Amino acid sequence: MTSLETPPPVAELVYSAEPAVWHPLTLLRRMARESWKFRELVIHLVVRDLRAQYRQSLLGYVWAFIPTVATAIAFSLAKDSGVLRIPNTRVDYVVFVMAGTVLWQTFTDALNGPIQAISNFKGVLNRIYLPPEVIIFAKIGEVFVNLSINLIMLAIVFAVYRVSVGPIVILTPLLLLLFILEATAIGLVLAPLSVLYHDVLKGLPIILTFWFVLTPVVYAPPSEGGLAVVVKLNPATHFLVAIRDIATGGPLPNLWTLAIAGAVSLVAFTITLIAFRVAMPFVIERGSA
Amino acid sequence: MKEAATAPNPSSDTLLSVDGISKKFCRRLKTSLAYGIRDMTRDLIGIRRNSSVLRDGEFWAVHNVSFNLNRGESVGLVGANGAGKTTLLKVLSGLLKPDDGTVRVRGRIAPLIALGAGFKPVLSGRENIYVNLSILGLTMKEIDDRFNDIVDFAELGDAIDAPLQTYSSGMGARLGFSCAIHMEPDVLLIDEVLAVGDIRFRTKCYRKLADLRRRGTAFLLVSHSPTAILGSCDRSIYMGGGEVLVAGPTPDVIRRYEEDLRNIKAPSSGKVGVKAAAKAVAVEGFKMEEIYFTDARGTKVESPISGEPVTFRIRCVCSKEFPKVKTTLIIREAFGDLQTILTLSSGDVPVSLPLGRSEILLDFPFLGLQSGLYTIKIGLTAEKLEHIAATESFRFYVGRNEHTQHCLFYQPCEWQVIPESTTTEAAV
Repeated sequence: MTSLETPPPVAELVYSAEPAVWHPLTLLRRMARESWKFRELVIHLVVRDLRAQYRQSLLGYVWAFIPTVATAIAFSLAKDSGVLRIPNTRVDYVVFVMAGTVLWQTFTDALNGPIQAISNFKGVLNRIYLPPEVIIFAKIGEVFVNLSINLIMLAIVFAVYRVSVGPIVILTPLLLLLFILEATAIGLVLAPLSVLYHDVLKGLPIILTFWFVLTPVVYAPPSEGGLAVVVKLNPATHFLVAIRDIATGGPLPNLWTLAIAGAVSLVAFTITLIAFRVAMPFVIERGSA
Repeated sequence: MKEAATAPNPSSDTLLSVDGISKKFCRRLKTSLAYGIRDMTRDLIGIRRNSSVLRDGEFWAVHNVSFNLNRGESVGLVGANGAGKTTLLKVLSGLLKPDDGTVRVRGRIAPLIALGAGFKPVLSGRENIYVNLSILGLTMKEIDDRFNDIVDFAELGDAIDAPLQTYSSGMGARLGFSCAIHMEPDVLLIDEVLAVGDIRFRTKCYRKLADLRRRGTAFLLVSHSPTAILGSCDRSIYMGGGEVLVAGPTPDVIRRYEEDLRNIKAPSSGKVGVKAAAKAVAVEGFKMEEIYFTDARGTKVESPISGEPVTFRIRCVCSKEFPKVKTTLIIREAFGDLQTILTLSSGDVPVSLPLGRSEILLDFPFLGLQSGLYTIKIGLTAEKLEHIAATESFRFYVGRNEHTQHCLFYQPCEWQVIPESTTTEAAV
């Protein structure tokens, strides 16, 4: 192995057929170096996509929260008219469902993020070398910006409905980050597969519809019955319920469960991000024209 | 021939060292995807892929290629379509993982295959410059320093703050090229892209490239066209079927490449002509039998020689008379830009094709075409553009003549010296 020889004057990159995971330190060092080198690009991409996203529209950034507001209003109407029988919630249902949909929207945005990133950057990725983490970080940044716009809207709704918020609310940014990383990790597994097999792209919206129903977004988590078990096993549940409860001054969630969920989310994100990088050359090779 | 000629021991000046690189592909999509998943999984869990062996349905797109590229050097890469040139470039730039061999890269590689990477039409030229250059790996400060030069070079002026979608295609291409060329990389990979903008802008690009080379940037220039390579590279590599066929001094490599073009692509005009004629689409009662060339003495020639007299002949059989036939020939380059070189039409002198076998002749007192591979598209029409017969894909090779080197075409001419006394006498 040449890595033991005297270091060359300029950083040398070596491409060979050996699995990248044989040299985990080299791999991690390279990931860290390149992510740092391209940090400005991450910001450029977030800004670029935000600007490009709404530039050719009259309502502009309002579009960031129209979907959540629309869903919230639809469910409120359905509940009030008795079409949907949803047990009463601790806070006003409008507040409850709006907080829920904002979080669910964030979850699906983050989950779709890597898939969208890889498809948006297909033209770039198969022509010049770009560290693949960069587009993922940019996507996470974009999810955060859209979430922030929604949180401002949510704050106004909270103020109107006089929801009391405790000091524990300072935990929410951390929980939101872990929640987004968890969803991104799922997306990171799906993204390379989605380039090779389009079945992933076709199936995902259907799966997400079921997932939405099995997640306590528009209803409070049930305490008994078959649904309660499914809801408990659902990886989206823990953070979503915890964040909403904390933000609306509800009961404190079990911190141990949250800590474990957080650790799982961090580990999953790190592993899938490394796997994403290792998988990228194969995706470019087989999936591009 | 051994590749040793171009793969000396890497020195401290070696920017790119390529050692026995191989890459395989699979043409069957479903199989390819399945292999992809398998390779990916093996690589992830760290099992060697045994990638130096071909599996069912695979072939070598690039096989055992080695060479070094040193600072300030310029190496040409020629070969027909599908010879593996672009795949090799993709392996060199780190996009594809080699299946065998090693690539060592020192310094910044800029692929000129990626003009305008990441451009978004709704954003302004200014915003796009920042995104494009950061994708190419420049920092904010480096972009700030170059910004004005880039805008000046692309000749955009005030348009820089207008959205990209309002630009003409030429403006967009100029901006893309300007960004790429201002990266100041250590190695520049150029893949047939210097067809940017008008001739004046192209000249400017070549000047800028020459400037970069003086300052030590190494070039790997990929082209179908021997002329582009001859002009700028000292060493060249000729690839075919994924392998290095010849490597060494450019003139030797190009000579071999041109010979192969003639031998493989145009085995003989006669035979090709028969095939092309058979493929011709014709109306009933008309049949194209053969398309061929003859020289000054009327003997059939495989490939006409640049600058010499030649006759182009179409032999056909008619089962009825075709009056007022117009023949049109469109001659194109078979490689590279596929530019139309000549359009020849018998429009003003319509001929009648009699019953039975006849030949349409077109005499060239001097063949003006430069040495190279061309295609002719032939169209026969009657009055009011009524179609009689048409053929594509007639390929022929024009042989080299020592007088047409460094020329775009052959110009028949004569030199004379006339003493002054004669001219004054003539005037009187």
